Amino acid sequence: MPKNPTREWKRVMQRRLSWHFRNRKRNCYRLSLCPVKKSLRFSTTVRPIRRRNINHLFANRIAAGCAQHGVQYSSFMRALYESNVLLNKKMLAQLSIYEPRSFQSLCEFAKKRHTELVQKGLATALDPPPSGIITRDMIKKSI
Amino acid sequence: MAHNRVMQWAVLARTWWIYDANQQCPFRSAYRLTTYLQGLHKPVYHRHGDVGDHVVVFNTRHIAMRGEFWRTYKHFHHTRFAGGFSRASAYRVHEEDPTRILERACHNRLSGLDNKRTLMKRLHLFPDEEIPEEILENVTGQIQQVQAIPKKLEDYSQREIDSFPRLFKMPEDYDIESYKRENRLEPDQHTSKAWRLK
Amino acid sequence: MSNNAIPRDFLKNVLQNGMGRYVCQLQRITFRFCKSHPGSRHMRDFIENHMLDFTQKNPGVVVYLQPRRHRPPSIVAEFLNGRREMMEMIDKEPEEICKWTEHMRGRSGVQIVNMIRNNHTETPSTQGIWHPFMFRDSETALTKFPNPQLSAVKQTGKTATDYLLEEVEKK
Repeated sequence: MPKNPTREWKRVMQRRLSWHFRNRKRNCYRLSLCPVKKSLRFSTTVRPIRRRNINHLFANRIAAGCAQHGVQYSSFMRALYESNVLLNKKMLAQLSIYEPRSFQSLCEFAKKRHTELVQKGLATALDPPPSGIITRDMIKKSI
Repeated sequence: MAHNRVMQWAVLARTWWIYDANQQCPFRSAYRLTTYLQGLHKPVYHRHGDVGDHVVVFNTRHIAMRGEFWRTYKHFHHTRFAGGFSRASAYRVHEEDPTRILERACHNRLSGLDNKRTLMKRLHLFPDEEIPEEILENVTGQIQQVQAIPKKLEDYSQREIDSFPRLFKMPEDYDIESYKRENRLEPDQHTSKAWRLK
Repeated sequence: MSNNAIPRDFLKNVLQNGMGRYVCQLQRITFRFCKSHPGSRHMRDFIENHMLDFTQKNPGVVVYLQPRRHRPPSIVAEFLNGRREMMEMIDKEPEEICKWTEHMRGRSGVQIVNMIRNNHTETPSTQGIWHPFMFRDSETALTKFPNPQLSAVKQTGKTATDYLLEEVEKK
């Protein structure tokens, strides 16, 4: 057993935070104090940046998924939001990779939604509208 | 699962795209080409994942720039020695190397990326319509152009020109060339021959 | 950050053990103790009173006794996947040793690590993972590139010239 277990434990805990540093900061307790504090401070500043990066990644992936079906990212997200499709960006990004056919049907839905805007004169049509999709507005009209 | 390993071969397959730069703006083209180079057109995109595609561009000699850009758009270079600064207008750069402007436009678009050089190696530029067979056989898709190719006056027949509706009639004494004469541009000092020899 | 030093993994199971037939993953267990030293007295007590119950209940597990002079007591478990796990039994009473042997018997043999995520699947996709040729038109396999039709910009509406010509034709 070491002479002073508390002291040893303190050092072990410090080394757990400094094992990936360079040179003597890695092993010497006294030298590692300052850099460890600094790195912990960095880890807090990085948090919002990491969150933002992940958000951008999701947006990029969804945009890429939409583009191959001829839908714009903004109109796609808007269509889902307006028709209360409660899927967040993370799940949409996962759908575009792992369930591409489901994502395709979401895109077709967004296109149909776009044609409604075209009928109101709020947008320009790009492709002929897809068939076999029913939106909420269409049900209201029929009633 | 055993076949997941095989799936990724298809997922990460590197495909080849072709792009016709005829009458296209190089900067807007670069915006579109770099998305394909980076793999931003794939749902599996990741910045550190190597998912970008190859892009073959031809007809780079026939790119189009708007406004006075051929004259005013400059390419800069500095050798880091004293007096090593030089610059050249786009039209001069284009005369020397017809692929240079599109290449630099893509290069500038990718600024700040660690894998910029790797991505630029996947951009194959050809000044004219001739593309080597071993490159063309890889191509599996075509990238849409960024702007419609305008029809030139030479391409219209005389009959079509005559039949086009005339909206208003010019007065007989109206001088069409007067605008050009009054707003004649001074020769550019930086691209003039005297500056170049200096 | 520094968590990279600590081994982490997804939750694992050995070949879906127990979905049909259960196979005990513990193959051998060795009780190491000293015959004379008081440090091993609980282990000796365990061997006298509880060990035979364990062997009768688990005929598939090989049990070894390994006396070592003046060394601390410990148990060593060897699993079907080849891993070997050693555990010190210093100052542990017979009941506690019983519990630890039961713990070793119930384990899958996979190393105990931090979990990266609470949910994980080996089959992420039922429809097939996306790949570049999934939504590509099959005609592109036969088209000869470069193709001017694929290259042309899609017309989104009427141009001013079209509008003008239409108006003139009406009159």
